[in-house]
Amino acid sequence: MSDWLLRVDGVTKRFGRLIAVDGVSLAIAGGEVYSLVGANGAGKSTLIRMITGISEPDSGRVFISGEDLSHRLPGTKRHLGYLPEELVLYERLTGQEYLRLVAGLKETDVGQIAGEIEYFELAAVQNKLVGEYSLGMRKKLGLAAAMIGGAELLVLDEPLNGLDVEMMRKLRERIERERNRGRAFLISSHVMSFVERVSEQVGIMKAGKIIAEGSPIELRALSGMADAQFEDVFFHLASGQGIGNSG
Amino acid sequence: MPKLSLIIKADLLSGLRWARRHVYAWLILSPIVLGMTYLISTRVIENARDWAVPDFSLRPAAAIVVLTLIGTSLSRVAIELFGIGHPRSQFDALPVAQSVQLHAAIFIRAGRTLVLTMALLLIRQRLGGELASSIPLAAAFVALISLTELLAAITWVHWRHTQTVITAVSSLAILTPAVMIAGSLLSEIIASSHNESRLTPTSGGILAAAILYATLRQCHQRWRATDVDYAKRLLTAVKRAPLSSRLFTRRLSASAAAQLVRDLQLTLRAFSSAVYAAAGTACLLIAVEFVVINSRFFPFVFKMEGWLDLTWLPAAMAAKFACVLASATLASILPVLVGHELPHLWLERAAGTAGLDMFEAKLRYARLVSLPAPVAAWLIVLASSQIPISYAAPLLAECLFLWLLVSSFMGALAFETPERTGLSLLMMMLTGLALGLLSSFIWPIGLIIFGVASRSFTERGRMRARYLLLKGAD
Repeated sequence: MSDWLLRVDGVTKRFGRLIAVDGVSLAIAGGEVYSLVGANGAGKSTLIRMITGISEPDSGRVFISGEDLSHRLPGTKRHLGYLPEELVLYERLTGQEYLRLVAGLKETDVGQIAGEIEYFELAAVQNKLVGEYSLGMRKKLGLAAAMIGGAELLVLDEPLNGLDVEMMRKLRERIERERNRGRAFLISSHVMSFVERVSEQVGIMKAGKIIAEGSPIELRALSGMADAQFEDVFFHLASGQGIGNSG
Repeated sequence: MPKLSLIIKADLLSGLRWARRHVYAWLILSPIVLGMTYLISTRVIENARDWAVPDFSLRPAAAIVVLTLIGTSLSRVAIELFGIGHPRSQFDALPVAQSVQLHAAIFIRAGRTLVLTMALLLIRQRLGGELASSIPLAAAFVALISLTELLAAITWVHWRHTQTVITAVSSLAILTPAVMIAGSLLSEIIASSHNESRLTPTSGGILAAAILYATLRQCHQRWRATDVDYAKRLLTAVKRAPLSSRLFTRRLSASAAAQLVRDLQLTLRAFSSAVYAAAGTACLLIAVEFVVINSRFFPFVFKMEGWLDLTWLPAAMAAKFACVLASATLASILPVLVGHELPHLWLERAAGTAGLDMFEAKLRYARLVSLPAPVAAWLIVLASSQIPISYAAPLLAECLFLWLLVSSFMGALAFETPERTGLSLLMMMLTGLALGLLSSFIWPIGLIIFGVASRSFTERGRMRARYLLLKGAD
């Protein structure tokens, strides 16, 4: 199935006796937005760290654009843009210097930097040290770094944390625009209204497993709560009610 | 190579900007600290010019120094290697080869080792050795020690993760000869009396470094991705502890007591390998005291003319020296602890902690953590029966005073350069050892210094703590 941009096959990760991710499988095609939702400790970030190649699964495989991530070929990561939840940046580099570093490591055209700086409204602070940035500015810088390089698959872990309403809207519009260009997104977020609005597929994680998966409309149907807030749909399904199939 | 240069450039630029923002530390503090170190070391070297260390003791001693160096840096090297809490940790998600990340870690480690080696070369020059002939030897030493530290760190994390006997045995099989060769190179660098060709040790060092590099590359390739999560948990681990802050609330405010309990908990759980290294070195110093006292090795012989002269009895001097050295060694965990806690300082800020409480907690910590030193040093000399029983209590008082002096002054310097652990450690050790060793000879001088200077040191420490809370370290 080479048309999948991301394919995760039965991935498991253990920390001692704790099974953080338990045999998870999912697939994302080009032009698709897949959102992972779940309570803290459900295993979302651990799964994302394995998908981005930061840590390795104990069993199972991850394929990005058909390439097996376990082969650890740096070229595989060219298909990937990543915004981590915990942003650790060079505090004593300026925003622009940091983006230049990322562009250099991604071996991409530095000409993209100006566009991303403008889009994420960083022009006024681009020559300031990152250590002086607010949480929102740091998040915007992380988003700009993830977008640079034109990767086909973008993995965004909690992209809305620290963003103001206007930037949240801009990010949603950007995601929709990039999706229409064929880029795929894997997003982990607690903001259910955002998830419902941007996602083609939503996976609900609990105790390391995907317990429900489908489009927002399918999940509503599964929960039998057609008119409720999506947050209520999530709580209903996460509590194990109305789930016949598990991912 | 371009990616490696990008990463190194970012690190260097970052370091350079730090230096620019701390011009005071570089222009004023560093010359003072380095000048004092230079003066003391050259003085010691001048005095020891005629003292030749026998070969059989120099090499094992050098190997122990290398082992201590590796033990002390284990946590820090693991953090560098896995990029924990550093932007490099995110390069795993970028198209950056693992070998590039390894080479960046080797470069950073070699840079740090280079500083130590340059200091050794300076000592060698002062001892009358030729500098130019030692440079290839020093280069081999830098390469070997850096690679040994990195290999020790990666195998340590992997062994802790997997608990496999084969990892432990194979690591020891590689690291033990590496430590011995590094010790041998170190002894060659500092031994001034040797005029024979250094080609053999240099070649041996380079060969050993090449073997270590190949092994390290293999281990890094195989283990990095599987161990990175464990390394993160291991190096930032928080576990439960039985200590209660109520133990300290009689003497301290609730806030200071809570901080002190946290600091002791972190130490008991070995927040850094520096805890093992400091405890190990302190035990070693007490063991040396035992050997010195029982072998009558101590070189000073005094004519005893009165009861007060008992303070200069060789055995008493050995106990006091051991007390000062061991107290300073144990208190040296403090700058490492302060550096470890810096990223979490937001908690104190958010909780409205007073600088006074923060300072008091660290001062008490330095005292508590080094308290075993005077007791152990005194018990050793008491058990040897080499002091009159009537002098046992005064000697305990002397040891306790020396401990109080050393730990108080070192504790007072806790917040001088909190973000530069190495500099802070050097400054604290120099101050503690200078005051302690001087007072070992003539304790009334120590009393005078304590009476005159402790108040201003304490006041300065409180101000630095307050400043750190208000302005931050950076």
